[in-house]
Amino acid sequence: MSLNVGSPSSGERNFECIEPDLGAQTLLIDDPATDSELKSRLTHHVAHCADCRLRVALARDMAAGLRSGLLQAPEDGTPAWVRWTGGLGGLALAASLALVFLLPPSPPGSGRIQRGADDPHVTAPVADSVIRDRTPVLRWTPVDRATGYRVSVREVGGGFVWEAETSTPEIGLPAAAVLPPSSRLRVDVEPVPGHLVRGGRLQSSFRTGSWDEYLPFRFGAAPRVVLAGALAGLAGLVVGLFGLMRGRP
Amino acid sequence: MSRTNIHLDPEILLADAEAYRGGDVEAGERLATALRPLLSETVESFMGRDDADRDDVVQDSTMATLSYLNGSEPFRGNPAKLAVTIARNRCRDLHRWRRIRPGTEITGMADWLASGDSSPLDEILESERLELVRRTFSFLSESCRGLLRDFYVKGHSTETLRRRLGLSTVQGVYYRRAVCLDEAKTFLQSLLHARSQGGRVGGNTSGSPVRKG
Repeated sequence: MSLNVGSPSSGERNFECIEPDLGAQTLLIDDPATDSELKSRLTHHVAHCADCRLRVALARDMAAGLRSGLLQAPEDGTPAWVRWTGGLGGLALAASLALVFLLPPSPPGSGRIQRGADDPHVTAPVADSVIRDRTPVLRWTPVDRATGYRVSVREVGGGFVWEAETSTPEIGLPAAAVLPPSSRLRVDVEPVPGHLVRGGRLQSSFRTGSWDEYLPFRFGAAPRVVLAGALAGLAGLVVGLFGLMRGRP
Repeated sequence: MSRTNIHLDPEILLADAEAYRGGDVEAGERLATALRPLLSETVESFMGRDDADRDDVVQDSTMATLSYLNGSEPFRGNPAKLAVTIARNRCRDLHRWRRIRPGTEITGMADWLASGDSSPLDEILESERLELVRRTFSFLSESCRGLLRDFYVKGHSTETLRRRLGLSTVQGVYYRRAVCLDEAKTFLQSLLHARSQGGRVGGNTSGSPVRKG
């Protein structure tokens, strides 16, 4: 084996440990739990090893400096504002995601300003929405003086048809009338008598879809304020996680 | 960096070291004789052949090697490598010391040096030391500073620290402390080196250390 005996390059100007296996344990020299035999060996090692002497001296000086208040350490590895930002961000994100799915989707044009009351219309499923429930409850705004409603659901370009009558402004599809998957469907609600609404009927359409279609629709149809909350929460969570990662030794 | 052509059989050196540890003075002399050429070559390559302190450093390194080999437990490594490492560390230390305190004339300071009281020099060294430790500590990442604070000031048990850090074993806590202190040690040595060169460390014009993380 040949040994390096030459003068050090710029990267080698630091001390070297003379017995690295033992040197790796030198900080245990000040640990009360270290047994006397190991402590004796470490004391002998440190007395001869400039590298370990420097490490132990540094540890002792830092301990003394911290205890005397000469050295100031942050109260926690992660600043409080980072922890708060991360925590609140996580909460905001979770709450926003819950609201995306709990609140009914906004129908198209729901943000527009108009005078007077809405014309009667189908309220559920929301017009042009995507739903996962294959036996949904259909709802519409009550029509003044109507004594009943004839309701039908038809698959656009398909064979599915379901018809029923009801006296209330809502009706659930029975289990026997499961909607076809991934289909476009049209709802017609005819009040009785028919002349009570313009065109004689209320119309709407919706689609049954897979998760791939449903999720983008729900996010797209969520109220803007909820989406803004989700984005702000996500940003807070990222800041918090980044702070935590930086806080790790 | 040069490599030596001097070959010393570690088995023979270890056998002599063990005999020396057992009280065989002649084995110690054999060791010293065997190691001296290697140490001379090492010290010369650092300090040059004509350096006035060369022989002293070789002698000190030889004695330090023998002293280390005479410890309570048998040495299990390569005594030649041990001797070379000791000599290289001594050369580094001397080189740095000469740069920081070049050619101090001490003849006229004999009375003052003989005094056992704390001297102005001691105070200067102490304040420099505190400043170096302070700069080194501020270089560490917040997490390292927090860990050392928890370790040395708050007196948390290693089990508590293990849970706080999310580690599976307490050895991991000791390992992290060692990593932090090794970072500090490396930075401190770069500070000392820069100081001995009359320069700065950290790469900025103010000379302030560049904080980690």
